[in-house]
Amino acid sequence: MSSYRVRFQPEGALATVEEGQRLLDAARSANVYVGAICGGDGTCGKCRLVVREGDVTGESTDFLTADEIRHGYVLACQVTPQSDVVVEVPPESRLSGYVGISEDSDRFSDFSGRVAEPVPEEPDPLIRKLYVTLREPTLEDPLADQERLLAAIERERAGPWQMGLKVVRELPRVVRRFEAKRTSWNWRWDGRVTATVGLRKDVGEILAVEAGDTSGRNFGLALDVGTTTVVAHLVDLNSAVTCEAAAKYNSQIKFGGDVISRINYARLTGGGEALHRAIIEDIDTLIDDLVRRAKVGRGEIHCVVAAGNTAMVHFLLGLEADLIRLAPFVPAAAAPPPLRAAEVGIRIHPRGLLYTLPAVGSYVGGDITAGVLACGMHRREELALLIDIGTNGEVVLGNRDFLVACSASAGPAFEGGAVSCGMRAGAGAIDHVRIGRDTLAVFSRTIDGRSPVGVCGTGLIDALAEMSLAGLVDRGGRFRTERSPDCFCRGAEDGRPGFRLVNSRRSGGGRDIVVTQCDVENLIRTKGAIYAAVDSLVESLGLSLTDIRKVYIAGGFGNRLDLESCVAIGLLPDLPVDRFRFIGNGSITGAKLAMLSHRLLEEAHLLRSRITYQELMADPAYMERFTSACFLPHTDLSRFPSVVERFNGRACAPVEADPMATSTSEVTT
Amino acid sequence: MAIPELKERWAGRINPVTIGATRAGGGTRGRTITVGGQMGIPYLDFDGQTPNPPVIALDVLDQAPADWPAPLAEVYRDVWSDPAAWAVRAKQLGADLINLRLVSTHPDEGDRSPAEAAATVRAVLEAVDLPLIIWGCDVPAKDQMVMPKVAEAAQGENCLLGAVTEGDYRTLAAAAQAYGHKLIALAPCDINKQKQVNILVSDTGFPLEDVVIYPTTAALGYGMEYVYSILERGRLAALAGDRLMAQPVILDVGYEAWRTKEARSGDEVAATWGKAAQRGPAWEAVTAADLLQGGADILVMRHPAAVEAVRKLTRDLVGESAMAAAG
Repeated sequence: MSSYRVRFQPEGALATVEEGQRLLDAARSANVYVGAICGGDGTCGKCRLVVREGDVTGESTDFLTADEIRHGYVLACQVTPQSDVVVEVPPESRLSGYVGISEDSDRFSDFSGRVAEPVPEEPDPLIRKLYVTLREPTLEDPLADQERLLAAIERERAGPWQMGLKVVRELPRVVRRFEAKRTSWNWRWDGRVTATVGLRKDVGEILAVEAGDTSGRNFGLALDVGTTTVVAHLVDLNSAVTCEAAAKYNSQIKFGGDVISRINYARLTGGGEALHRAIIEDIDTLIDDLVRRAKVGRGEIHCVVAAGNTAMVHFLLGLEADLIRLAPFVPAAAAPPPLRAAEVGIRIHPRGLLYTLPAVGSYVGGDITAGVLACGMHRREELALLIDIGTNGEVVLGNRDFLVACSASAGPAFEGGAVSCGMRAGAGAIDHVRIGRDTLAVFSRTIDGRSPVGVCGTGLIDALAEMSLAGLVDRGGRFRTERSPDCFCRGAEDGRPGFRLVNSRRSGGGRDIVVTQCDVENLIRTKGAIYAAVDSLVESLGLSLTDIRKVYIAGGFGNRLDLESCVAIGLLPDLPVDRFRFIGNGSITGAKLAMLSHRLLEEAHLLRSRITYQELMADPAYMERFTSACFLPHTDLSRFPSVVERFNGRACAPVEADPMATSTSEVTT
Repeated sequence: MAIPELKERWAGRINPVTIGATRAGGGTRGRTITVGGQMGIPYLDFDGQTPNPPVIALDVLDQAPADWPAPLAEVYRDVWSDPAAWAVRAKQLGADLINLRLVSTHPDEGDRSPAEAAATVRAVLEAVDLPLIIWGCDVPAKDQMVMPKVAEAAQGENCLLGAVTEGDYRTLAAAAQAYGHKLIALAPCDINKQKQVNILVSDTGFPLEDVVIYPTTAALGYGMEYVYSILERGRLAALAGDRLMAQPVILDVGYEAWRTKEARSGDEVAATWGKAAQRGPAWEAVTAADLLQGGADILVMRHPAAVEAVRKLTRDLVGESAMAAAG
């Protein structure tokens, strides 16, 4: 059997594949990202490649236009090389690698000032460094080194304590100076020792001992293991200050864009291992960057607290994830105990601990417990709603007396990969759009003021809200090309018109930045799913939306969202603006809180039993609510009085009743 | 002891919709047909009146049907190659309205031009003086070309044009408004979708009072209960005051009933099935009779025996006097 070499441009990465293996396999083995959102089933059409040299065979015509096929476009998951080939990964299939971290992390963290990050009232970090001076043993006080240290530590903090063999082996040389001379040697007592202690359940463990006082250097890593984005914060556990933050796309995306397609991938031989390795490598990349910028040694990080949805935590720990997908949806573990980080492959201090925030069930994960912890809704009397706007839209409703959660499979409509001109909130991402009501002039702004290259979730929401208010889409989300043909370009991705946000002349990438009809349809389904989930939860408790006193909005891009736009498209309920609170990335905030307070970690575990999970699919009215919500802003306008006012305020007249004019513009679609 | 008042009082009312225009109304029809106007659950007259009994439209195709089974062919074969003659036959058989389907405009079925379609409509309008319901060929791109021409050709006749959907409504709504016709709004078996289509249509400036809704139809034994429950829920919502569901309903009973295996099979099947000549009409009649109870206002039908059975049922339901008053 022959094998072929595949070179991926522009990076030049090289892969060798056996005959019959697909270009997608080659891309995976060369670690080249191509947007295979479906995981390689040939159903998403996102893994577009351009064959520059060599021959390939296979059918990939369904998603490509005749013009594209002429130019050598193929779908990586559908074709196999027939010779050595050179392929180009076009920009739309590419997700930029690990760049612009410091800018991005700002946006993924909560440094914007719009969100005040909570700090535990009584700091009691999971890892403490205790500096003690041990008295020199004498014939009268012959207590052994280990017991001497434990006794000193117990004076600081109650036990029981345990200590690994490796630490005991090191101890005698840590508390003494070993002085070797030519013919003799001498052990000189020092006694000044810093013990790094960590909590594993109720038992304390001495993770490390160091000579002298290093208690000022105590760091922990908070992790948000998101389906699309992985975020890491390096925290100084003494001061509770976040030193540095970093974020990157989850490299598992190359195995599938959503949780289910990844679980399916995990079932293949070696699939689970590949997913596990991908996330571990991502975390490694993030740690590398953090320690470099913060000038901290990897060995000075003694704990990782990770929050993520149940499937992501399973991949992280290398647990069997298939059962999450199958009735009765029982995960391998909901609340894994603290583990040695090294055991799962995370390179921090070799005896450092990995804590995962507990999940409620297969579809309400540790990211949600983290979110509840972050907003503190479980401690207050007022009725609050937590909405996590991510790849899965999770919703929690309740107060200190009860908590109900559900999960709306929202889909990745807000996040870079699944949107035609989508990108994450990075350099050149459009995050703000306004459309003149009379002139229909489109004004857009990028996050950093650079030339626009794509649109991020907030920009997409803004765009749809503005199009709706300007009458450029109808309430079902269909483009009204006849209203202003100049605003639209023909034949975006699927041959249907696209709405032009930025002309190719002004864009950074030299192509029009458009919102396609398909983007809008996806966004409407996503927002409909989230709104319907909120609606179902509220109704199931016999409450009404207006009973909600606070709405906490979590999500990576949460703090940049335009509330009015969210309400205008019907993503969020139409409540007074002062009831909304952005909590930014609830996952990372919750992880940090748990890391900084042992009591809060316990609270997270208690939350697990306090949150009742409601299966939306078991609610016969959910589909109806969903259908009603798949409209702009909703089929029932009486739920959105403020949007009605904005609609009425818009200057455009209703469409003219000129059948000839409208027919000509619609026929060609 | 006084007998308690058990009447339901409804806040809403189904919109009365008039189809067709006489000379006085700017058209050439012999009479107009009004449907809707109910103020209560179908045929519970003690709750609320049923001022307009349900009406029956008979199918007329603009080309000879290829697959109509014998019981229908016996009635229409001699006229079905000429839509005008067919319309006359339909009137003779007691139709309240003509349901004209421009199937030959379908790109795969002859692909007749908008001008030819308009000519067919004019011919039918001249041949009979009944109000018209006109459908395109169900290919949106083609209908968008054909229906404006048809609407123009029938200007002033106040026809009922079908059908606008969630995806394609703008052209037809504009055409209906420009030339003074009524509209059918189609949303398959989904109340929320139906409301959405109605909103979209009304957002173009087309009055909701001129809309008839079409939730699709299913025949007895082929999912009829889904349609029935949608009819019932829609009607209850309308009576409870939901203006978005207050439209009269059209159902395509004949087409659905005559697609069933039971209606199409001949006498070669088991004897216990009964004679084909009775079986098909019975299937159509029973489907119509059931859906009538859910709140159908316009029944599109095919076989005269079924029409007769439904007429009798309607008389029983609303009373002879109401029928006479209406008609």
